[in-house]
Amino acid sequence: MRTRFWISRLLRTLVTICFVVTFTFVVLRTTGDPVVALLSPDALPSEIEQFRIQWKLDRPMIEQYISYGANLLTGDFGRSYQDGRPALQSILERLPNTLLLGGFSYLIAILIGIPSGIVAALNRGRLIDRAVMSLAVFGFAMPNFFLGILLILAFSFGLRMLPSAGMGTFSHLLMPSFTLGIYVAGTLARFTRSAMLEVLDKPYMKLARAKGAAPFRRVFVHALPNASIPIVTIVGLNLGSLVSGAVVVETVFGWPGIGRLLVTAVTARDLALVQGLVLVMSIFMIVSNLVVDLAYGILDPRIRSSR
Amino acid sequence: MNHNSGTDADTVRKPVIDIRHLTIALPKSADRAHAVKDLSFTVHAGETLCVVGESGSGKSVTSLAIMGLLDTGIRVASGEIRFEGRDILTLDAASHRGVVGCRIALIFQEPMASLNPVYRVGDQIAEVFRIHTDLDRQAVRKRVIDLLGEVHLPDPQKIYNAYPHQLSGGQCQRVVIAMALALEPAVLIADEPTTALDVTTQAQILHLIRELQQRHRTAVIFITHDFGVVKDIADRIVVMEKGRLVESGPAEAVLRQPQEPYTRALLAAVPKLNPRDARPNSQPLVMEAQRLRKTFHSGGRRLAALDDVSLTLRRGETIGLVGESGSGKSTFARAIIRLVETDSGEIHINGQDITRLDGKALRHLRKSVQIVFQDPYSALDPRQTVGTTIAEGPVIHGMPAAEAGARARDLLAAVGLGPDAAMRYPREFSGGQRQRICIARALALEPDLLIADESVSALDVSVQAQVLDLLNRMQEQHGFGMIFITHDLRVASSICDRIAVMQRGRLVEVAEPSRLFRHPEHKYTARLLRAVPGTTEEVAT
Repeated sequence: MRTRFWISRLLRTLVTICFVVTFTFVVLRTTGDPVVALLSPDALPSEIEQFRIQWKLDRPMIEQYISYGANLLTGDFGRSYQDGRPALQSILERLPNTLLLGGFSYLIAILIGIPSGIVAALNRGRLIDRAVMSLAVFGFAMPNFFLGILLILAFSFGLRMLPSAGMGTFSHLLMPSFTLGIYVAGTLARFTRSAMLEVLDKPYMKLARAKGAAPFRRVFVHALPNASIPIVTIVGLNLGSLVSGAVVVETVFGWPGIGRLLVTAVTARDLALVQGLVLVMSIFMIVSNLVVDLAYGILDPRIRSSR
Repeated sequence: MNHNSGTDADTVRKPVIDIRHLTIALPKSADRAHAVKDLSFTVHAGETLCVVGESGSGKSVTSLAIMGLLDTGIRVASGEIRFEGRDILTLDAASHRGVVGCRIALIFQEPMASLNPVYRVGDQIAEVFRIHTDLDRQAVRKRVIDLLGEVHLPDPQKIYNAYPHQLSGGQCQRVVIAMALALEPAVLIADEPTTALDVTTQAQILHLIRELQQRHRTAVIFITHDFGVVKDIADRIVVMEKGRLVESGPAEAVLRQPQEPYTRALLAAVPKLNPRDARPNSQPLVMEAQRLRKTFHSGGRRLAALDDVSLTLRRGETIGLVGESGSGKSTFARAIIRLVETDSGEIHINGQDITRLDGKALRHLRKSVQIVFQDPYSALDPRQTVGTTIAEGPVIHGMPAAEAGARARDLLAAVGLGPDAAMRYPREFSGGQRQRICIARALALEPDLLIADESVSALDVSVQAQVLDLLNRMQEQHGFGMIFITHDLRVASSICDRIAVMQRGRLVEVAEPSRLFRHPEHKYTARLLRAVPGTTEEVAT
């Protein structure tokens, strides 16, 4: 049963990747001419024609698609129209920066979001619950470009404590990862609270008290594992928003990651680079969803035995 | 209040639990100020005290107060709960945890929901030892396996490693009992521990509790609304009503010579095991099921839910469907209303084979077969007024809204709620009243066949009696045939013309109650009848 489950998951993953590749390929080629975006407006018709031939843009679309697909299978993502370097190389250079920013933001989100959700649930209806929930709404309602600018104004220009842009030291990491993490923290706090509230009312929680289990044990050993399915789902779904959020945050803070690279590649209609970036982000989402699925089975024996 | 108790014994022995003038206050938003008012009773070692009363009588709140498990907003306003001479209400949190789970243990109503679904049952029992003792891992494991054996679970090693969802309800309750008895507590509080179980499993669990109690001299506080169970196990009885003690005393005295009118009314409402004869009936057949088969497949396992089941029902007749969980009762009902597709066989409603109907014809069939579910709380849409809920069916089937509204008001009057109820919402009604609304909703479509799926199981005995009476009256007025699914053989014996006994998807016996109860032909029927609590004398008479 389990082998069949994993084979079907793998097949679904491959189908999704094929779909993403095809979709980006078609959309990028039907919504505008990359030559117009890349070459200067007064380029001669012969120069334009030569560019097309050089990058094989004069061939029928289906032929371009087949050759692109075949190259992908060998790990060749194509070359950037802007600097002629392999697209994969440019992406891999920037990817660790985004993973560092995303990873640290996620750490902040989890460390703030889950404990505040638990505290709110344990103090349901009290002042502390209302305060935590108001902050959570603030977290996910505040646009991250705006929060980023506010932070720069306060900590860079006002207090002169943190650098406003670039990367290199730990203090460079703080403001962008906080800006990115606070949105996810707000969402996580809300979902953790409702998941915990549902579990705290269950008869087995009462039985845990009846056994004489101390409050800490009841919350972390009995309640949290049962509340973890919706929490893990939200954690997985928000990995995507970390990447999309990185586009904005990396631009605001001048962070050299794949989010900023995507913005410049899209503006320049750099087909190979945009396709490569979209593919990498999709694979990232697909893998994180697979991990979430795997986590369900680990966390809940009922799901494990149904597979 | 009356105390016809054996106070001589009380003075001789020291009680394990001594509750003195206990008052438990409810939050301001509640419908009354106190859940429990000035309650006093005692329990001695080796004794079983049954606390009986209807919903809202305060019996469960009392047990939660002893355990220190009261919900937020509910608090002990005054009084004492003395355990082995100490008032446990005055203990700090840590000392209280040292008593609870170790010296006083609790078993809940829903065994499946009482166990944490993400941990192995063995580890959940082991947790009690980890919290309260210094035993090492190996010693704990050995003790747990011994306990699993002591509660008669087969293959304790295997059960240790099982998760709750892999066990049956009865097995889960045995695990909870093993957990409760792990540290040989002085007091065991059992809050409706068998209500959610089959009659045969119930009998086994009651037997187990009694056996363990005798072995360990545990004092048992047994909370129940089932007088059959009380009759079987109680040494003494406390009767509660709306938070107050109405009557207490030795079981024999309270059951045979109740002093208070409330106790007498409660006892009178208990369905008697008074098997009736079938009413003469020459009406046409409303339902004819022939050779129904249905097999479910799950995780590589096959489960025959219906195995060659044939049954007929006439207009104006009531047939009871009894059997344990998983015997196929509900699958049969669902097949009749086409919520489950059978693998083979034919179902005729009013002479028409319905197994191949679809589209408009199937919707028309739905009109002539209606169902009343077990839980009246979840069966009604909380955002619709009662009138709209009842009128919805007729309107769907083409009746003008004004006419459907008038019919809804008539039906509400007929089920004893009055036409004004139409404008109100389900939350404004009690459980029994909601079940009346569900019955009115089912009857609004003037069905030829009514299926009552455990429709009175969730109700108090007095309310149960009223709803059963209502169903009988409505059947006399409207002449529908009724399939009455129940696990309560007392109820079945009093309302049904014939009883069909099901076991593992097969129909093992069909007979009128008087014959079935006196001369059961199938050994499973006999076993089922023997398991009905408190019936030894009744069946004999």
